[in-house]
Amino acid sequence: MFRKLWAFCKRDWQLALTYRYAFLYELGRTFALFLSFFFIGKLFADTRIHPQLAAYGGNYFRFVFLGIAFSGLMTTALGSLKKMISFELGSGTLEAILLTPTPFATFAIGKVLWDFGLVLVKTAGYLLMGTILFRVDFSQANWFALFPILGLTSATFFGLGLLSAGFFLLTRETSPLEMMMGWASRFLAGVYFPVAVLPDWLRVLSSYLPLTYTLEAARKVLIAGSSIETVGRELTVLTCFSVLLLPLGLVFFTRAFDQARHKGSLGLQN
Amino acid sequence: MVNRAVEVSNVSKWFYPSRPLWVPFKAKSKIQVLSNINLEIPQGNIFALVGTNGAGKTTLFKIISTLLLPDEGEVWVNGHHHLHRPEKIRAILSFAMGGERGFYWRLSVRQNLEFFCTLYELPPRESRKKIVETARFSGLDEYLDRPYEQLSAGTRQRLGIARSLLNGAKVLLLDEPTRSLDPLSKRDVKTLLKKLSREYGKTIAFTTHDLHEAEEVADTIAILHKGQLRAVGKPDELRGTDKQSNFEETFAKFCEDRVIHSNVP
Repeated sequence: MFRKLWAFCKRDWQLALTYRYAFLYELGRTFALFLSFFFIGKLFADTRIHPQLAAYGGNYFRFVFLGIAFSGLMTTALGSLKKMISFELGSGTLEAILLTPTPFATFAIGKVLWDFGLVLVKTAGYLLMGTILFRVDFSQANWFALFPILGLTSATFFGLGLLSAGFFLLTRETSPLEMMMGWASRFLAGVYFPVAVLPDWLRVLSSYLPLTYTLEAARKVLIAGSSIETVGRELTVLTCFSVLLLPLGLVFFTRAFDQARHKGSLGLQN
Repeated sequence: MVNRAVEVSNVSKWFYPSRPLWVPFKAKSKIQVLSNINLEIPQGNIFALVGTNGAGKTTLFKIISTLLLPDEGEVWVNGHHHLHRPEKIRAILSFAMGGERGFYWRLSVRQNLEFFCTLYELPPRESRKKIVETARFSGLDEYLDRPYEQLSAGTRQRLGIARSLLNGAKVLLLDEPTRSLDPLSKRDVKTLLKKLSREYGKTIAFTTHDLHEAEEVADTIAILHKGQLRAVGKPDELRGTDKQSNFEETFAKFCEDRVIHSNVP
């Protein structure tokens, strides 16, 4: 199984190498995005005017920087499996792979593993870029406490990603769940501004979004250096989300896959 | 079951066209693509499945290869049942799908084959050996380090066949292996098929629209029309007593709207 997982990662690496400018484009785009927020952050330097930022050390750029970095993890976990199925359908390789003695789980994990690895490297790159180029202060950070947050966030959004991929298998359309979750999370979960600035009724909606807890916990451990115990509430909620969504996603995806196999829709997209 | 590479028994398949979400309560319409198919392919045989567009040829091959489940009926490949032992079937059967997709366009022939060798669970050293051997056998040695996107249609077809040989499959299913090929490339592919059967004892089943090709290469020909198997037999048997008639006429006769099952096992 590990050889096959490695083969999927190697193939994706080989494919990535054939897109020579994609890496430079991504780097430039991210740098430009951070640069914009760096200057926007200068407008909010006074925490007396913006007390909601005080809870996050009063630095808007550091706040939004972490929001962007971790919402990337959500986007990957949510859309990776669907993206993979769509790519293999488009290349006509899905059936060729399914004809080999490779369980679909290995195939799915192999692809998702690469995307997760890539997003983790990217997140680490963002943090490095922030520290070196934008002088973001992570001197207090409790890096060890970040691991359970990353793990639980990945599991939660992977569960949602399975639901989304199952929907795609059945309909060949992007799942409304994926679109709504992506859109709502960016708006309501505190990516660009603290949840505290939202009116009460929107804050209620925000409390149903897993990314809210990811960002809250990540900011606590990376800005204030909080311990795992301090982010216990956020970790508990994320555990509940993952325990609920992961099995639900697995069951739904398996059924959708069986139905697609029965319908014969695993072949080329015409 | 002895000496039968493939046995298809009473297989039927319907497709359900997707309907818009706003008409959820409308009764589902269904299209029958295969109707009560019975078929046997002997070991080592070259078998041609001939039919018009939409006759159900690819669907039948997908069912035999376990990619698709039939609504009714059963399939055995070398004695393995399609539902009980699909993994056994995948281990001894290869299916080269038609068309120019099915490979990673930006990767080289070698990278593509290496990837599939790993999925076929070949050890790295054996993979390298197998790739060189298969490439030589299929006339692909000079293309090994060329990206797939730079290959001609004929070379891509041969690569599809080459991939189906990686796992040492005993039964090869080939969906239109000579589609859109020039006469020379067609000849190469046909020679390859004969070589695989005569020298390596592989059972080969292929679909085609080309009646002459079926007659030239195949030991047994089956005619599929509108999801029904109209006839199965040796080319001479299908022509019957009228040896002078060409195969197009024979084919047209079987495609008339009457079912002739005289040769169906």
